[in-house]
Amino acid sequence: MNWRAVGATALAVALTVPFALPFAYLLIRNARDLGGLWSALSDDRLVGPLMRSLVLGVSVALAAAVLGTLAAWLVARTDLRARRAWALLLCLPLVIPSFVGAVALIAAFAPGGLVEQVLGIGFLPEVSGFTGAFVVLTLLTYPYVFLLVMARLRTLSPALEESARMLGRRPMQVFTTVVLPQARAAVAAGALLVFLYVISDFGAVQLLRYDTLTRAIYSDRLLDPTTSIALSLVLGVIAVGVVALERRSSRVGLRDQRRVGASLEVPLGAWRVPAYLFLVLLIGLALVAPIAVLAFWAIRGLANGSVDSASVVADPGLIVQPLLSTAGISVVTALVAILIVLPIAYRSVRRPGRLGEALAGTVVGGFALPGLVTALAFVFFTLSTPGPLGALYQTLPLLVLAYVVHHGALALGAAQSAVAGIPARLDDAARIMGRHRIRRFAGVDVPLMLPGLAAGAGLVLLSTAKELPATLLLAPPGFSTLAIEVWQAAELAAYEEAAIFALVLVAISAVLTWFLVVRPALRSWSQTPVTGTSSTGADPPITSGHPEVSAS
Amino acid sequence: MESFPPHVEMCPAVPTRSDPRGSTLTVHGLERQLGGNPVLRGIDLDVPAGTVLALLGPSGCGKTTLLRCIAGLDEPDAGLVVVDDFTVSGPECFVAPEKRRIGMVFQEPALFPNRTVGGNVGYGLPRSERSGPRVERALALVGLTGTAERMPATLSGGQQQRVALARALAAEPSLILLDEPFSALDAPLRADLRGEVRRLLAAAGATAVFVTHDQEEAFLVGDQVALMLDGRIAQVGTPDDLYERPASREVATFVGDANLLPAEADGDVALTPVGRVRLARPAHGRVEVVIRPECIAACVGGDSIVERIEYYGHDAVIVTSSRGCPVRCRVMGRPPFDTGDRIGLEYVGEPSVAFTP
Repeated sequence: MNWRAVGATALAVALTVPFALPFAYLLIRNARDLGGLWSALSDDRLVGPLMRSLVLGVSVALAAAVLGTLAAWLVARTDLRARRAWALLLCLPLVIPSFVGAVALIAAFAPGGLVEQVLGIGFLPEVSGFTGAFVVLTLLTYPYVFLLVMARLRTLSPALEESARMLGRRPMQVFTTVVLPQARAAVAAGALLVFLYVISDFGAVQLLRYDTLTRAIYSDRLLDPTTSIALSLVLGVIAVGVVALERRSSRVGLRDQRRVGASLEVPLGAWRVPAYLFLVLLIGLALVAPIAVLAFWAIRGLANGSVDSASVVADPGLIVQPLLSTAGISVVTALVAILIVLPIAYRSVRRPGRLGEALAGTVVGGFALPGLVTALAFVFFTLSTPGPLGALYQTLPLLVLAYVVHHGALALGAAQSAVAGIPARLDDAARIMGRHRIRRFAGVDVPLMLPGLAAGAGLVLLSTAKELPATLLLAPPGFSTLAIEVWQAAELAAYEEAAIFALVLVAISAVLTWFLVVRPALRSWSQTPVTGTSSTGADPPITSGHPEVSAS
Repeated sequence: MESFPPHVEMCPAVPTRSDPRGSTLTVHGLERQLGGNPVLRGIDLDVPAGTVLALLGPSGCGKTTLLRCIAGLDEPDAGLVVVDDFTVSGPECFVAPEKRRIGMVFQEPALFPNRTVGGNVGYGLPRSERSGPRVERALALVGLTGTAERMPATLSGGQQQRVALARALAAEPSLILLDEPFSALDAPLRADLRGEVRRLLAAAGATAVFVTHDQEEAFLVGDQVALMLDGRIAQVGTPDDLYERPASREVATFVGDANLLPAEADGDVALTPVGRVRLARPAHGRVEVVIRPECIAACVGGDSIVERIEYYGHDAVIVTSSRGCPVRCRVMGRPPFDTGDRIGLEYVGEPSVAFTP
């Protein structure tokens, strides 16, 4: 028996345990109190929030699917000008966390906000509730559909559409009879991602006061923990189910016809103006408007100053501490995540099989569980466990652990590709030259994996920096991140402060997103698809690990 | 160069025709640049009704671009494309591809994967005829009766390309464009389909333009062959025109194997290293004469030395030199010579052509 292989497997299994912990805890805790679970599930403490979560999820997913698909088709297939620039701009709403979007919407319509002051509209409509949540979440999530559909359209052979045109069908008919059926799987995958994002979302629905499951879980956690835990289980089961569905659907390989070269441009003719208008409006509402609103409040706040000397408006230096905390905790989380998932990646790639799949699936399950639910499970677990585990409550190590459990799948996807990218022959060659195992790992594997691991760490970093609910529930007293500062200021209706922190957060997020998501996606689009390759070559990294789907 | 209005909408669709014969196709002065490089440098072509033109050329010569300009999938920078008496692409007019009533078959089958074979074939037909006898007839034509309910993915590559052909033929276009339709298939399958396409196009009575980089394919399928080199038509003619009376040295060397032997011409006769050769076009002075290797007979004893023998099985090429210039000579079967033997060479072919060097 090879004890080394057994040791490696044992290590991988042990490292996977934390990822299963939150869900396992919810199951056990609910199983122990079946009466409480039953009463929570059977009355309208469940039904109302559940229905609202599903209605919001489905309607946002549908709207995002329509907007994202239409935008992708316009950019990929028509004779609009500057299509690369449009593609770039259309991705950018990804950099705005949902709670920042909600803050922007509320601040815009608040008394003294942009709408009242600049547009001069005296009557301010009610933006909270379903309408506000629907608008904010749709505008921030359509890029998921956009990116997936763009990637699919890039791999679709232009000869299909050319054949259809030569057979006498007009461009719009070609779109509905040829392009759409071929892109259906991508649209569906994007819509599922959006649905998951919406039912997991906490920040936007809480700020906009729309009572979904996440909001009920959060508000019940202190006074009615039994209900909170029961609802968490329900939400967790739905979320994990959606991810399982998404993974199964994406595993069905897309059969691609091969042909290189540019696709036929559809002349828009008289539709050119409405098309530009649509894109301008979409980007204007999803990207320009939130940033303009935040900039408006931030600039006005900094110009007017504040009577409160403890406010960032009075003392811009106060930005430094939350900025450093955000950066520090994100970097630590990213490094820990890579170290934890690397053995799992090795085990699942080098020795493929049931166990490896189960390990990777567990890590993805940790990612599927909404951040709020993960955090709450850790809260209840530590509070109800005496001894050293209980002492972890509201400490930085537990916060990092929760982050790693929630975002680890992003690192795992990157680490798996990195491990798979090491030619096995290289290891053999180093072995024949008599290199010791550890020196082989350090001298051969690590340098080859470094770019891939760095990308994975970057994705974890980005998601952690934007994370809200886990930080809210698990951060030690006095520890504050940019997201927390935005949150607290928004709850006090201190929009000047919220805007300043939010802009800094968006700026950091924009830089990271550019390097980690947008640039690789654009690069893969500019390469012509290689003859006979599967679609995976041209997919943006988003399909391999769904970066950024984090409950904010 | 004139600038073209983008997709002039006023151009009406090409009308349907009751005439069962194919259309005539005329291309005049066609120019096209791609990425700043001229790809088509003034193309003139005339394809009479009901004939097949094989468009032959090395890859990158612009033949696919020319075909796409005829189809309307690409917009020329200058020049005319006229189908029958109808200008489909010109300085004031660009008819969209779906309004040209031109059939097209691509390198890949490009079947719609979400539709059945029958659904693919019926795609270009009027709604009422999308399933029924017309689809069956088109499938029967390509020898695929009874496959209408199957999905394209369940067919072999050759069958898929047949379905693509049936799909193009089903709409009964009077002009069909084929863009290297067999290039993705294995050699035996290609040979089968070549003959079949020739038969199908004749049966349909349609005019066709067939793009290929394979000389054999061009000669077998085309009534006329147009050789395209570097964005220009180098020569149009019947296959034997191109082979026996090439218009330039480039044509002579691209189409088949050729010796270009130095010679002294005097009217319709030239004196070459392989003896006297009659000329199809009179010439004078120092020239180069095109001599096909199979037009030279070799016999034992003479003043040429065998340098090498390339043995292909059904024939062989003797590489020799005659009066200091290399000569290739093709014989059937295995030649009765060995390297180093002395042989005599004699020209036995039809009148050839000469170019001034």
